[in-house]
Amino acid sequence: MTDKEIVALFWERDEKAIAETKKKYGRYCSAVAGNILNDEQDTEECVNDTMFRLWENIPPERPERLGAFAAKISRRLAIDAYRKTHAERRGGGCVSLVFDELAEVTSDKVSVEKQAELSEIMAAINRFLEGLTKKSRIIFVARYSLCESAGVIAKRLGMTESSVCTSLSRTRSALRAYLKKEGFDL
Amino acid sequence: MKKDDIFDALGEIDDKFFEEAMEVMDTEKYRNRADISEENSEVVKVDEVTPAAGRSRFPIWAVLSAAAACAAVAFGIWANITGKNPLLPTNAVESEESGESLDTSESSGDSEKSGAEYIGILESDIEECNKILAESSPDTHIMSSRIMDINFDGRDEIVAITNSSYGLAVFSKTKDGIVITGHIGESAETDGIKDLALLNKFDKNGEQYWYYCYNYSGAPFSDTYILAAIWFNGIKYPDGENYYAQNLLSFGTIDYTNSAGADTSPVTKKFYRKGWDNNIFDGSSNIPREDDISREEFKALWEQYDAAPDFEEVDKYGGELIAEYHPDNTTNLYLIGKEKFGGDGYTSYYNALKAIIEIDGEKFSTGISSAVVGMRAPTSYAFSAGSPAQDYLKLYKLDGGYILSFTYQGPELFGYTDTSFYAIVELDGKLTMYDYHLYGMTPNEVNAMHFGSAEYTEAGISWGVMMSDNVNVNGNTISDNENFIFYTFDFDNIKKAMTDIQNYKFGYDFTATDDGSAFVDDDSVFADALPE
Repeated sequence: MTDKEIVALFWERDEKAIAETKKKYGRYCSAVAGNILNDEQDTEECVNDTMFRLWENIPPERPERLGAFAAKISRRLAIDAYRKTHAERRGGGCVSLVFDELAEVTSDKVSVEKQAELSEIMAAINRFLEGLTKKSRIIFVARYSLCESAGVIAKRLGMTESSVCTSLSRTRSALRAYLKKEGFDL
Repeated sequence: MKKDDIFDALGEIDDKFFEEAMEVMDTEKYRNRADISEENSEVVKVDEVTPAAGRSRFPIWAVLSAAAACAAVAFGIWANITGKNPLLPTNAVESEESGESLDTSESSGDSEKSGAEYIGILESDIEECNKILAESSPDTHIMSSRIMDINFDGRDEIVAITNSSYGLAVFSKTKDGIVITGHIGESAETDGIKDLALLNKFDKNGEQYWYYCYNYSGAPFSDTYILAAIWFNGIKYPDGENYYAQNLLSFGTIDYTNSAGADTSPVTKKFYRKGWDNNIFDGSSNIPREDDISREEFKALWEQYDAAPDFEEVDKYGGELIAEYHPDNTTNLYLIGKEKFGGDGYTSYYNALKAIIEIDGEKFSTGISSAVVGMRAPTSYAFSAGSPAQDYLKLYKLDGGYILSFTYQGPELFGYTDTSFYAIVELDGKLTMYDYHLYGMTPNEVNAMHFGSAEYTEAGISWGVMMSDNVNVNGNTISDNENFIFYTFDFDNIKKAMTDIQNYKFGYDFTATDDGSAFVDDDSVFADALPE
């Protein structure tokens, strides 16, 4: 089934959309979330949550690239889960809970500003990525968006791991310079 | 901004980038898509996973990847499509978008090789490169070459400057031999390149690029210097790599006649501009061009290229590469090669004026001149190929620089002596290499050529070279080729000398550095050859 057909199912509120998405992109989402969480059960939960988010967001969204759209949601959810887990480890569940409670007080304003800043950064990063060579871009995105290991990337691209790391280092430097030039306070 | 912000933003990048990476990382770990059934290869070549949409958007790329010789054309087309100039500084042109292409893949880590290895590689490989070129284009040969890691992949390539529209060819050494893996064409006419400086690096946004500065001289241009950059797009195709050369900045002089006005006297105009396109100068109506910029604006652009030759120097004197200065003082001569070409019924031996020298850690590659030094006909006669060039190879260490000279005596039948000279000069703490080639001429012709217009349109420098063989110098006839006299100017006065050349004068002293016995300080020797 094509992405377009699946998205149409979402718009028709046909629950078959979930099954088709999971069938086509479940492993994608699982891989992205797994790279972050490194826990099978948490990853599975994350994928299920992703499907739920898709159901919530389509409509009104009508993504042209459903795989990327879903994978990005998975990444977002996985990171949230990761941060929560690590906050618990640092301060225990109580701290995390307190933090969540206080977040309710400030969350609206912060999120608006935060969202605006995030949008600006996102736009700048997209422009930056546009200017990269394809190979450098793939390495960079695979590492920092898909959270894939340098070893896996190297193997996949037929490079040495050190070459991948060097490429990443160069691109990071270039991104830093670019963002500074764009006026971001780093 | 916190790192978390960046991290979050990287998860929200454009879907197409996400998808692009996912396609490459499409291992079993990622896949369960029913529509993919083919064998999942272990290693993915980046070009193999180009999204179909991307390919159809620029169909010319696919064609060009198979015909690397058209790379320059491709770049031009690509640039026209995108309207982007990937290498100009982002603040250089307001209309430029941030389309820098940054090859950040792989770095050189194991490219350090000993001098001995360089000799071995170059000696055999250059010959092979020449053969390869000759097979594809009989009139094409290598003018000069350099071993360098042009694509920053940690392995050296041979970058050869050719004499034709081939432009610069990139050779790689594989276990199966030497193969051409890329071309660097020009967006300007490569045929017009009469002198090409060595490649140098510059940094942009933390990334390194190669660039070179070349001289172009052809009507209506009297003298033009062009700064060009090489752009490797990071994609390796089965049949090679895509390299593109882009002319970044140019300046020089142009002679034209304002036919529209009453006064049709030729006018020489100095121009400064972004890029280079000699085809635009096809008539007086286009002069001056609207996109010509002021000297000050040009200077500001030029100086953004960190390693570019000092603009004031170049603008004043003309110039080529300003190499990086290294404080330690080691000098090595690496190679003198030989070339042999065959034709119907004869074999011609061309000179072997080729050297890689290392001075203070910087390697300089001299050109190969194409003069015949010997000929062997199949039936009637045979004669010497002339004195081996290396017998006359001399590297002079002088205050403020070096002079490297190749000289050999041509076969008796031709009766000439041929010489190439290279000067590596220290100017303001930087080493600069100038070269000058004298192709198979009689000594008098050599004089005429050397002290005529040529040296002015070349690097703007004179070696003060006289070829021996019945040449009258200060009333003394020099008749013995072995008494080849090598003059050079006083390096302390080099700026004055160069200024004088610009003014068609030779007001400096010549000092013999070969045997110390000769001294020339007489402009009249050269008077006939000087421009009016």
